[in-house]
Amino acid sequence: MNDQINELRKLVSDHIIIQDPEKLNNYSVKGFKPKLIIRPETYPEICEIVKFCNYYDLAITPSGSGTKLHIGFRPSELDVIISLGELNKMLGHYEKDFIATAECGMTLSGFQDELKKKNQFLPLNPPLVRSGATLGGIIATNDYGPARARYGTSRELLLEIKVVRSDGKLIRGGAKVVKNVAGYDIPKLFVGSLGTLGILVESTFRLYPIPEYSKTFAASFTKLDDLESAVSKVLDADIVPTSVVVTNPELSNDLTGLKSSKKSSLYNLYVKIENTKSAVNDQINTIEKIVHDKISGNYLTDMEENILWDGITDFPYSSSAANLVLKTSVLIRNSVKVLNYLIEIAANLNLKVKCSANMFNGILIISLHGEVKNQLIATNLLRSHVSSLEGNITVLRCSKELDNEIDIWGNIGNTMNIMKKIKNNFDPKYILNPGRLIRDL
Amino acid sequence: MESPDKKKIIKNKLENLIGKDNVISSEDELIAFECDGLTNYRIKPAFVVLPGSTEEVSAIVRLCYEEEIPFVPRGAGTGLSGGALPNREGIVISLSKMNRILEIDIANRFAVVQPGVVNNWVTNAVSPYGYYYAPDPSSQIVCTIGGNVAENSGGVHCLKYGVTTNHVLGVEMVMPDGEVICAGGKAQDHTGYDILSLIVGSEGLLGIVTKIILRIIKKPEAVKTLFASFENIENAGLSVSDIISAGVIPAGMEIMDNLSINAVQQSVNAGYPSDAGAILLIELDGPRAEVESHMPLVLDVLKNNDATDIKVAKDAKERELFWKGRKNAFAAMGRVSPQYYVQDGVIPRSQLANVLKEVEKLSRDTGLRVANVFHAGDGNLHPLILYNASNPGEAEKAEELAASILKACVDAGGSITGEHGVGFDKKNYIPVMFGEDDVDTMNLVRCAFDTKGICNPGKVFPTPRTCVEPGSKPHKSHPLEVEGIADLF
Repeated sequence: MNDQINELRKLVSDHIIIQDPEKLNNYSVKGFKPKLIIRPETYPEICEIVKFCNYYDLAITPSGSGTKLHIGFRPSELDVIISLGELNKMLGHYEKDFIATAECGMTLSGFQDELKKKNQFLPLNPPLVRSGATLGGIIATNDYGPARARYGTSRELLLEIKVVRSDGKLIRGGAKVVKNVAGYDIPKLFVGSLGTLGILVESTFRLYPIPEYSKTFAASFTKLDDLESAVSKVLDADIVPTSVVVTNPELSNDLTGLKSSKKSSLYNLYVKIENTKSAVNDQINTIEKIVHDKISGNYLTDMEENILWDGITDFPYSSSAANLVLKTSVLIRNSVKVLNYLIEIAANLNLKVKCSANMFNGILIISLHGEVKNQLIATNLLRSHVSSLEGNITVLRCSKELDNEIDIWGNIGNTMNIMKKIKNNFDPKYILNPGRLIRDL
Repeated sequence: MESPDKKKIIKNKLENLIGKDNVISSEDELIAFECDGLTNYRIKPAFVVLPGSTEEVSAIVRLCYEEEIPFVPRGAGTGLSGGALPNREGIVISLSKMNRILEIDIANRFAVVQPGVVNNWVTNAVSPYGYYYAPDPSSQIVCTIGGNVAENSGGVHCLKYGVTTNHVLGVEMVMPDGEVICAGGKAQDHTGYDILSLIVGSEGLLGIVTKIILRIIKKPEAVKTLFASFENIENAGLSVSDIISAGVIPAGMEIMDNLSINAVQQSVNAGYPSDAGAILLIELDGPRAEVESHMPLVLDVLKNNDATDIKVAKDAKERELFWKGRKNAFAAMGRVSPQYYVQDGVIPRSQLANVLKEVEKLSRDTGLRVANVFHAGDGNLHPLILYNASNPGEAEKAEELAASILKACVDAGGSITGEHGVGFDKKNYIPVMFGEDDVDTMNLVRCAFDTKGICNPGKVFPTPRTCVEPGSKPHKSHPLEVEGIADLF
């Protein structure tokens, strides 16, 4: 490899190549240590590096700030990590068009700070934003948060991308306009592709005006039946919520800051409304009128509200790495049924479970603590239950012991062949993040 | 299928697969299928087939694959870019018999439909429950969901609610080799590559969609529709950006210039002032309190931009009339010109004034009138180029003018199509918008689906490219692959 590295040094600036063993350790992907880290500063440098890796069959894992490298299987090969950390600039904020373009190594929080100057924002609130989640990482992992109920995911917001393909060519997909059907929707293909089709270097998003006012309605329930009925009324009401989330008692206790001695067994329902002040208050009143059988109800605004939603978004990653984190997607009205089943199996297997359920989209984010073998059993049971309800489960994070035991992606259905053909066409030598997207047979 | 014998054999095979009555081969009957909504180009296909099920579509496509016969899927034929233009030796697969709504699930907010279902049948079916299907192209009373999926159709309300791709949860599709796949599904998240997003808007080049799961949404509690008149189109354009900057995302914002207004007034009398330089039609919807609190913000913006007259629809009937004018704008052009050619460029909203000036200049230079009707909120222009085909060379001149307008859109940072698709009409403009490597990347997708290039060939891409099998590298196996637990890609 040393000869190859010397050759690489002739192609790109020396200082962007990192071989320091300690630093290499910091970049390991699921225990797999890279031989080299490269931190390119320009697009042509990335093109040169990828071309070089392609020639020598070197496996690449692209990385932003590394907050989501736990997603996916352990790579089957890993030679080089290409870190986008130095490509972190805002390239244009077209404020009148509500569009902005940035390099993919830019953090979402940095991006939002720039947009805020013009009272605009990108309505994505995925986890780990405060840890430095980057735009590229968020797109590549299709990560999102509770605001999906109103604004969707990167799929709805991404307008244009620039990508370095596995042959080192820099290509563009989409356009910097909010509506465009010229050719295939290449930007969406890259959403959730986990760096296996190309390296995202630049992204352009559709933006929204920062809402004038925000308020969150919070209510607690002892019985799941009462909760289900309340959720059903909220979903049918004449309101436009930004988020509708239910938390199970374990997570509710964390979010309300109850100490262990006072722990309750309440399910909490949170409904966030953003709009003009009068429209927010009117919709909150509507919710209050229709949500009965609650133990208590109150409202959160300002700082308190922000802390709550940060807690709901980041909870799976705020504890030790020993937990198993799952994302479950089911039909909207099956969310409570699945939550109920989850709590039952967790109790039977002596696992501590925390769950936030996005009731508007049928997405449950689950964190399981306890014996690793029971985590696996619970995942398999839940997966089979969810499959029978036309849903699916993705493992977002698991412990080292489960890395080679658990199926991360679940059933991909009968699109596997076409996915393989796309991968073959985009990356015929399998140098981009090999082995990380897998399906159960 | 150049030889009569071959044609006879294929005809027999088709009849065996789907029955004699469902294979059209007579010259007279084929005329109805020789073009779609873009009537400038006409090609008579070898056969038109009318399958009634996914299995029949699959069997026909498998035959085409084995015999290397090009095929073109077709819905209602309302497309404006020639996407359903037949191949001379090919087969048109009409989905008109697959027109049933298969399932409606109000609680989970979806409907499952066949591709031949007409767009507004979906809204009609879920409307009694207080729901609707949002994408509403102007042709929604005739165009089909299959065609909408192929073109990723928009409409007048997509500023707030998005286009077809934002409302399709899943599809069943017959691949170009006859295999049937399901992409997406009733739940909202799926693993692996987003195959569904590639299929929506692929203009029938990746396969034939035979079942669609549509997202349905709740009808808004309140709707307010108004239009404002302006002396010039620039001020109408400025108002659009200012309204969004004020924190209001209307359901729709449409601009019509003086020429369009007059054509519409002659045709349907929508109550538009015929002396206005332009009108901006706005619809606000949502919870009642939201609409009420947004209304004064919008009115302020309009006044600040010198709106000469503002008319708010007083009831549902008047609201319908305002929209009727807009939705009939294309057809109304018949009142002011023997022929018109409609284009579909997109620009960043902030470039509206500049591009419209350029369009005006181009119109003056060519001597052809251009009427402007557009989805202003999205920056989606629909210049209607008026011409008289009986004047020698005028049709060609209209096409040249259209090309110049599209180039102006791309130069302003926009796109050659916002909702009509590239089709046959604009395939040569793809290189204006994308570089060679960008187009090559799209071709990597196409070749993954259609190795033989038989699925709606001659559309979207300027020159047909051959699909080459990539060389494969024996990669090191993943532990799960070795154990036979999982498959690697």
